[in-house]
Amino acid sequence: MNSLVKKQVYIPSVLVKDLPADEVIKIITVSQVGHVVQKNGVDFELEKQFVDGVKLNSLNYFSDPLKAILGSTLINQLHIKFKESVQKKETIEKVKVWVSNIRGASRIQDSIYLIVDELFTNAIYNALPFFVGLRDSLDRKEKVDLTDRKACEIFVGHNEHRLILGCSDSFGSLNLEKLSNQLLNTYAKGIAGSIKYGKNGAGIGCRLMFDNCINFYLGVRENEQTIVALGLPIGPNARAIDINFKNIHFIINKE
Amino acid sequence: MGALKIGEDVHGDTVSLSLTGPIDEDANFPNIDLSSFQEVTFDFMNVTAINSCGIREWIRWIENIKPEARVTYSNCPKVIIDQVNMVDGFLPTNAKVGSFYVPYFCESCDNLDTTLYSDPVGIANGSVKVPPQFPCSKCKQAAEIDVIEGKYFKFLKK
Repeated sequence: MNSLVKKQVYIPSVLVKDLPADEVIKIITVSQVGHVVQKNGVDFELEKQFVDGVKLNSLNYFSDPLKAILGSTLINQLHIKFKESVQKKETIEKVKVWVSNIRGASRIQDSIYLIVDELFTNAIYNALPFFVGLRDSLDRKEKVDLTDRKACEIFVGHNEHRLILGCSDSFGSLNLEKLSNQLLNTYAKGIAGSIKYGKNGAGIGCRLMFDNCINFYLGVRENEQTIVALGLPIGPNARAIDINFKNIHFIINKE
Repeated sequence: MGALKIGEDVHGDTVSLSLTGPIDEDANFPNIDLSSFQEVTFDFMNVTAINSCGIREWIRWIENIKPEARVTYSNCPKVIIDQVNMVDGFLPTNAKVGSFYVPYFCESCDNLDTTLYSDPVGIANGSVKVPPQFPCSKCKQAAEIDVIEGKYFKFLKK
């Protein structure tokens, strides 16, 4: 899969139906496929358009992920910049207040908070050390200040069917091969069997996020930018979050 | 949204612990020797969230509980039931869920209610009878159960 990051820009996609989450991860890990889209998923047409759009020009995703994902159906959006670890709780609180006005979002509030928490934590504690070549993330109790130049951003947007939560950082250090293997490992060993018992990351955050979404978008411009976004169903479709059929997208840009 | 607070109530070899706030990397679990108790009850009513580090710290904290101790998880909100269902060891072996919340969503007024179930016989038999609908606390219209039952009640089979 590393060859994907280093050499290959064109990433094949597959359309599937009723494919369980672990099988989706298996496909993305062991093959060269970078997009798995469920034919019976929420916003199927938008998902197809998204794949076509990023195949044409992946920079669309990196310049405006909400527009790339939701297109003209995007109703409203929120952007929150952060650079210090101490800003986590206020960031979650701002998202909480904002989504409380979206009809149907109350029923997925637990998933929203969990995802914002994990996105924030990954950006602050994982992206920087991996960018500078360290092998492990930072101690979760450490106070971190990324400076204004490397500030990150949590973004939220929605249409009538989905809420998109995401995080952008300017490190571009996310290793998609490592991440997909880590995810696959959580299915093989179970979540408990995959926990890392140190002071750094627990190693299960991505699995928790994946379990709490229906679309997982992972975009990397190596050493430039990482954008991770997740789609959650709102309104009458909201229980789809508990159904095990998920889409995943790897978006890679090599200039 | 502050750090997790844990209230302790010790009576001989019994301890009741009530948790308030998020279970995350900032949680300071009390320096209480859980291995010295025969009965341990956790009250999760006021737990607001849990993240990946919180799950790890929780498992690390409760691993000292004696295997023969009677352990009960009470007033479990959905975030706790989700972990009980997904993460082996989040609920110690031989421990039981004493009571738990079930979410109900009202399409009419966009309200989310949670209803507490504490049927010890039903829980012990793994066959809790939960109504598919419940009157919404705001508009009194029928609110529907907001979980996939086969998935949410998986913990009853543990």
